[in-house]
Amino acid sequence: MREPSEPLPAAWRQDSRGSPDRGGGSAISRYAFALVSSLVALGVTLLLTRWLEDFPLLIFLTAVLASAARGGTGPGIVSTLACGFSLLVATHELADRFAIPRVNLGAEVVRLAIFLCVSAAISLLAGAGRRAGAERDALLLRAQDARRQAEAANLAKDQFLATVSHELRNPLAAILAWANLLRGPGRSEQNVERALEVIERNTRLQALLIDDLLDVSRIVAGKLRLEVRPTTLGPPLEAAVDAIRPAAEAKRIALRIELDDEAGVVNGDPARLQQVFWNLLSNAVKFTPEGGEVRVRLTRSLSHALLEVRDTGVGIAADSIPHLFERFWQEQTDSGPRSRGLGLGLAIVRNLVDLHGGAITVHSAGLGSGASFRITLPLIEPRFESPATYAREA
Amino acid sequence: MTGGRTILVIEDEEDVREPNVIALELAGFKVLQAGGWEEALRVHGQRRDVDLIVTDLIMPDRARLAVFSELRRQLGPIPVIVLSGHPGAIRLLTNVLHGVVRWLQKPVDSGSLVAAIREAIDEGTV
Repeated sequence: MREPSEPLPAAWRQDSRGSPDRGGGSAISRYAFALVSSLVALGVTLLLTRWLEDFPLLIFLTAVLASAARGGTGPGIVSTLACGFSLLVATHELADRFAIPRVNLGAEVVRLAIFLCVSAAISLLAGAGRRAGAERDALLLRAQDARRQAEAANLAKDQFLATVSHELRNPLAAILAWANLLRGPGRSEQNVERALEVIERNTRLQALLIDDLLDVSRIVAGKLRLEVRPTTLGPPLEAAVDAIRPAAEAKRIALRIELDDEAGVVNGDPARLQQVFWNLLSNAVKFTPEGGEVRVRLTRSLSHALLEVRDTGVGIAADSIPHLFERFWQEQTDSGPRSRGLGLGLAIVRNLVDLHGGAITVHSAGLGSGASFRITLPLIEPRFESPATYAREA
Repeated sequence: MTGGRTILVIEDEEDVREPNVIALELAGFKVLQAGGWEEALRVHGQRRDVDLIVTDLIMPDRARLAVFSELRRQLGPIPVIVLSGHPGAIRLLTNVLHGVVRWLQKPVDSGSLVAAIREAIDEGTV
């Protein structure tokens, strides 16, 4: 909740044209104002003695009212005490200066008590008013925040639907266009071959998009389950490499694989681990230009298996890295998203790695400098080294 | 009935562009193609013989719309047929893109595309 002393945000100040600023500045300035206003009241009283005679109460009450209105209960009480003291000073000063017969002590005490009670009541009421105003501001801010969040969620939903609609229609558009071409005079031998290749590839792409959407839906609902068993990482990694090899060869990208036979066994779901490896490799091939290189290295430390996928591709801008694993996030360029797709692959990868108790990190020296993704997965049987080795590693 | 008209097909997905180009060529049109508005502007911006633009809309944003507007300015006041897989884009851009004679919702089969172009020619808009 916003403290009463905090300045109101610009948006609220704009909305409340003409209303006073309930902030009142810092605590020091509010208390200083209370003291200064009390002194001013005393000064005015002494200056206007000729006309005020022995009744300066209203001036001091005005000072208390101003202090309480600006600063709330605390400054109001301070002003009350300062003005009460000033009232005593003024009364005696007036009596001395104009030789006014002094009222008896009892009347003076009663007059001071009335002043203090009225001033305290004013201060308490002003403080309550300020607190109510602050609460109203806070409620308004919360309502504005909620509205902004709802609008952002609505926009995100619209963008998501637009992206999904576009990405799901594209493979269908290719399939339909080629199938239609084969029905007409375009049915040459060459076109048949090309059509079959496009239809097959786009059907697989469509299936992958749908799988990704279903995976994200399961992740959001907390229903993604792993079929965990002791798993050697080599086979799922080799399967992923085999699956990506045609795409790499089509772009003349060199795939270099280094597998440590001693990489160890993890508790994992082989199919999901293959999905993780395939996603990282697919990403690397997608963002590496023709003739580039993708290196895959599987090694182990004492307690973890380490997988690194390093490419010589387009790299990642520093400000994009924090968002890389967010769902539906896609790196933007001047001409739109850097790549086609739903922006789900890396979000799914991170989630699957998390479910395996592992971690994923990414490094890129910037655009044009390639990228490197590293996954660590805990081994079932950590290797025990001599204490000397531990000491060296520590 | 194509009257030797030249059509510029702009579509970033080669798998979609290629069959449409083949179908339009088989239908007797002279076809130019580009993988995006920037490429179309760069490669075909100076031509004076384009009669119709057939273009995809890819998540339109202001920067790319400016490129498309520049392409329209350079090519002259020629009609446009828009293919879109993004239903909202049609509503969004109706007031932005002038000269749009047909909106076709993806996926569009090449037969429907050829038919839409012939209809536009028959109406005299191309």
